[in-house]
Amino acid sequence: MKPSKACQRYRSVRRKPSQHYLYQESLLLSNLDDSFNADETGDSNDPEQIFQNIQFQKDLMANIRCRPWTMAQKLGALRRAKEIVLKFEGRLTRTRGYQAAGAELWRKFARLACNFMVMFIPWEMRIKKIESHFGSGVASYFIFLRWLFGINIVLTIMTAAFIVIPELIAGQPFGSTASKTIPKEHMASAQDLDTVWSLGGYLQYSVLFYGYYGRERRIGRAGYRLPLAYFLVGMAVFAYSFIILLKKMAKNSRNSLASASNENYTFCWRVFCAWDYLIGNPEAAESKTAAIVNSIRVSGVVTVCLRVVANILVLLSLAGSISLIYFVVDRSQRLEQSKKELTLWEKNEVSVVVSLVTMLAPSAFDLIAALEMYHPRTTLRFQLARVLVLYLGNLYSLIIALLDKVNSMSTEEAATKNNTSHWIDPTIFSATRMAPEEEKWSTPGPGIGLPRNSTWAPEEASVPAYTLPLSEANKTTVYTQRPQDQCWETYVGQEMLKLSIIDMLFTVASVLLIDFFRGLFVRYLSDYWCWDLESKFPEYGEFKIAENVLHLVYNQGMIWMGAFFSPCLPAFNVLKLIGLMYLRSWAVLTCNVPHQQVFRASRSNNFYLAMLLFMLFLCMLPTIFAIVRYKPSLNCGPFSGQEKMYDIVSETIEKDFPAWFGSVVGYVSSPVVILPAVLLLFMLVYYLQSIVRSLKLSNQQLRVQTQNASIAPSVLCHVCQPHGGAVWFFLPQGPGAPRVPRAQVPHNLSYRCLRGRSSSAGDRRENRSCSSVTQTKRTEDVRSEPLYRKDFQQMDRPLRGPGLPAVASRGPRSHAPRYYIINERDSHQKTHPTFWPEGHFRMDALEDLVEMCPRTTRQAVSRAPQQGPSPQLSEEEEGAPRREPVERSLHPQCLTGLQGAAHFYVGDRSESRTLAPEYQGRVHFKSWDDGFEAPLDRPVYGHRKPRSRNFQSAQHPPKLRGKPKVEPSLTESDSMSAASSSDQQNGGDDRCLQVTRSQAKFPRSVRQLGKRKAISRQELIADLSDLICSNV
Amino acid sequence: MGLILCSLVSHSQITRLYSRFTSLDKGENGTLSREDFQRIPELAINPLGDRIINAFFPEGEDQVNFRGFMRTLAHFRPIEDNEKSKDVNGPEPLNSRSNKLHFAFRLYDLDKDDKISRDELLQVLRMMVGVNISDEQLGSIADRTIQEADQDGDSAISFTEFVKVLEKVDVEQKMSIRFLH
Repeated sequence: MKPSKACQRYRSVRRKPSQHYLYQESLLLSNLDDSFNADETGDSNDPEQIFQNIQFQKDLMANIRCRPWTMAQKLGALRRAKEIVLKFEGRLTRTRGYQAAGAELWRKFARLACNFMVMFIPWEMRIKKIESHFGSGVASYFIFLRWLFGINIVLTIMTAAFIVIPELIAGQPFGSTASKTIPKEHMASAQDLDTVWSLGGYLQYSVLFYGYYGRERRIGRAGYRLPLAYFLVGMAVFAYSFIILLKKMAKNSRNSLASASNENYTFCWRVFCAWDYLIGNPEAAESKTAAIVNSIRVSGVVTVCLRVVANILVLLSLAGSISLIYFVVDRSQRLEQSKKELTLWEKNEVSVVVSLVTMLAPSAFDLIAALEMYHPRTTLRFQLARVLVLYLGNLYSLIIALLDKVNSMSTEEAATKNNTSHWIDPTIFSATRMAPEEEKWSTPGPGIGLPRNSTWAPEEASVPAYTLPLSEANKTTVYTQRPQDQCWETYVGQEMLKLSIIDMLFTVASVLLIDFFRGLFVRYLSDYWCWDLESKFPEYGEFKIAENVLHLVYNQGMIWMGAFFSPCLPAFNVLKLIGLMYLRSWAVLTCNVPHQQVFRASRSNNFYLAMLLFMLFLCMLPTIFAIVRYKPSLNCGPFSGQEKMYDIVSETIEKDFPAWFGSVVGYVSSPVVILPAVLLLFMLVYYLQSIVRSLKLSNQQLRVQTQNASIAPSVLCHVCQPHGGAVWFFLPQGPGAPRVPRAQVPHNLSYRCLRGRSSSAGDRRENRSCSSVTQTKRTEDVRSEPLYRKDFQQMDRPLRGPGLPAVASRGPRSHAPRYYIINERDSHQKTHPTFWPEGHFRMDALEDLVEMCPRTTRQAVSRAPQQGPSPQLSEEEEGAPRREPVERSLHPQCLTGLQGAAHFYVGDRSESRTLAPEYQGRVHFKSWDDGFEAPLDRPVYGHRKPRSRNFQSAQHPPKLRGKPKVEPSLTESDSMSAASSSDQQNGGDDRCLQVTRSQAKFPRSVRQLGKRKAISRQELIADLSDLICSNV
Repeated sequence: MGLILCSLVSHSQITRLYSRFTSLDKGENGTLSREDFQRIPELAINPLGDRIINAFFPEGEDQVNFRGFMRTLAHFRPIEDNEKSKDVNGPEPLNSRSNKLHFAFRLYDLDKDDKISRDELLQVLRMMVGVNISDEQLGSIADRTIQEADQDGDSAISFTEFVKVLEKVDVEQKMSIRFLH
């Protein structure tokens, strides 16, 4: 990302170099010039330039206090700046000012709106409060809850808008048909508490359940197809849930950068990212500490046999819970058969038992897990897996038991049908069957058992051949005692709703008992107890994030399972979730301490969502199975009288669509189309899978490459630094011919080897630059090279700013003189001077390279200039002008002194690297420190050591990955030169930074010093934005 | 104020922070001392609280004025979307990713040698976990940590390595405080 950014910046800068140049120029002019010169005024026709200039001047005014100038200079500069602003501001159209002001206003407004919107995010403040007390782990539970709440809202809207409200408005009113009427024998007890409690009576015959919905194909004047809508919405609930879940997961995984999981920094992360800085509560801090301890503790003694025992125990309890649920459902079935009146307990037995199991078993697992003595993390994982299995087992055993019951109902029904079909003509069977049955069943019977037997008796008598099915029918007739009871869908819906309600009650009870009262007890009785309640046995309730999340998942699974049979279940769940949110948040804030084993659950974690998806899939299965497998009840619900529920779709297509559509659908749904479509899907999946695999592979390779790229240069340098002659063997990549002579330059080795590996593209340019140099062209020529144009412009033009003597005297500092000095040095050294400039230019070429292969060359680029053959020269010549030009005007003597130093230094370095560069460093950096560190409140360091320290800090940017490796490898004999080179590198760093900045190639490199010193344009521009807002 | 200005955009934010500053300033002398910071509960319970407080103080001083306060806080300003695009050619603001990271790095780098050594890591670990873990275990954890992060084999974590380690951590979001205004 960074390199691309660098590239972008580079390009953008290249695109409009003149602008930047002018910018810098104006900067110089404003400071160095006493008068506005022709250059500036000439360019000032461009409003953009004027504006930038004005902004710059304003910035100068704002910052003038920080400048290391004398007061007179400051005053002068201030006056000049004001003049410029006054002079040019008038030329600028007012609109820009308004624009800026408008932008600021808009930003303020957006912030305000943003703050305002927070008020509309449900529970945002509450969650923030919890987050601030207990950290983001606990908050993630509430965020997850809120998200589920959102889903349920949508589901509620879907069912309400398309099913419930149409049914209420346009459907047949209550009491108009048999399926919408409470049987007379139940009328008396319809309002009894226990009837209502077990969702019987009025509730049973209401829009809450499947059975209430009418079977008319169209209702109301508009002809709303309710049955079709019912079916489609039932499916849409699942479809929507799937889509929203997958979307969220995809978004999360995009955020969480999970792709790079093979780079493992578990320990580092645990150490560096362990603390949750949002925690502001001592107890939370304590448990966070415990969590950190847990997370880094190495796992204890392995006790295999105990673990086996524990697993067996867990399996046993799982099996126990499942069989218990099955048994309870079975028992309730038998009870209903045998007893006429069921007690409250018997009616709610199933859901109570399920809820109890759901509540207690996790704690049992917790205890068992203590046996195993796993590492806490593993324990938590096991615990979660077990609880999930338990919840799933519960739901499944419940639904299987229910479907079993349904099965027996339909068997009975089948028996009835068979019976009836025996003596009624099959063609009119359905019509006639309904009538007599309803008559029969709806006849009021004071004692239900007896009339039932009596009604069955004739049938039995009439069809002796069916003794076997009849005996079965006899067994199950209990359910058929009332026609509405035959409505198995309603029955399932009732059970699910009941389960949901009881689950809610148990949650409330457990929060109150286990958390609240325990908290009260511990808190207030602790003083009078014989042991410390707070730290020993009962303690405070823990907020077990993972288990609570699992409970939410389970709850949602229940909703999905029952939503088809009880359309109001999502609505109920919405209420439940609201209640849960308040209850839990209250409990957390009042009486909980966070769980010590914090599950690493950030917002971008897909763990919860994966569980939810798993749950959704598994909960969809039974519903779909029931829809597909079972025949809808005969006399209730929107699909009554049909063979299968989904027949409604084909029926609609047949009747309400044109014939061609029906035939098209017929073809589409025929195996001819379906099979190839499935095949195609498989192929598509396979194809995408393989693409993903290949992308992963290439991703990996790229990563390896970048790693290599970061390692290679340092490795090479290790090799080549001590004995320089070997270097050339490390420069093979380039199309090497013209390099051969360069091998004669021994002192340049490390630099070379760096450059050498940069890339062949670099070599190409290098050659080019070499040629341009070997022709001993002057600056003008070089400038004509497009590659370097900007660079030189930036260096030269400001320096040659007309009319300033100081600048003029330093004019030769631009590119050409650099060459000069090199030559000068060469004449001293006599060490193959001719190749110096090559190297020098090569460096430039390399910098250009960045554009092409930013990632790999970055280090090379950053390094090469540092150790470049004429570091000093370039340092002062490129660095200085780019530093605040003002500074230069302030310390001209420093710079002039520098030249000598530089020269001295370079020679030294190239020879034996023995001369301490202190002198040079001092002079040189002094100017920097004075100029920049001081005004920036940075401690002014001593010169040499701090430099190296600065250098260290300069390594920080991630881009310079290879660099630090160089340092330690330097041999002791090299230490001096290492120090010097570190100085130099440091200087070079800054310089390089500036160079690259000026060319905007270097991805804004992170060095703080460099950054801060690297001033001028960039800072200006950033400051501009502020000034735009503040000053206009 | 240039730097601060470019990091803390809104005037009202500065005002807000100033009122916070004055409310923290119990001595009412225009500067904050370490004790003032230690009264903040989040810092008081934070095992690294001292380090964070240290980060507010320039070297060798035990008072921080409002400007220094702001400069430190500017590290925590969230990076806004429009900034990401515009700072292509701007200087690096204090709240940039690398500055945030560097701030974090300095929390661990006790002796300011720009390396997190084993000893420094041990100290941090000791602060975080208290006495619950034996020394050799902590030592092995520190070793593992360094071993994981260390790329140049100097048995210490440099900033570069630190950045590499935290490459996948969304520091931009985590080290952000949305100042009220």
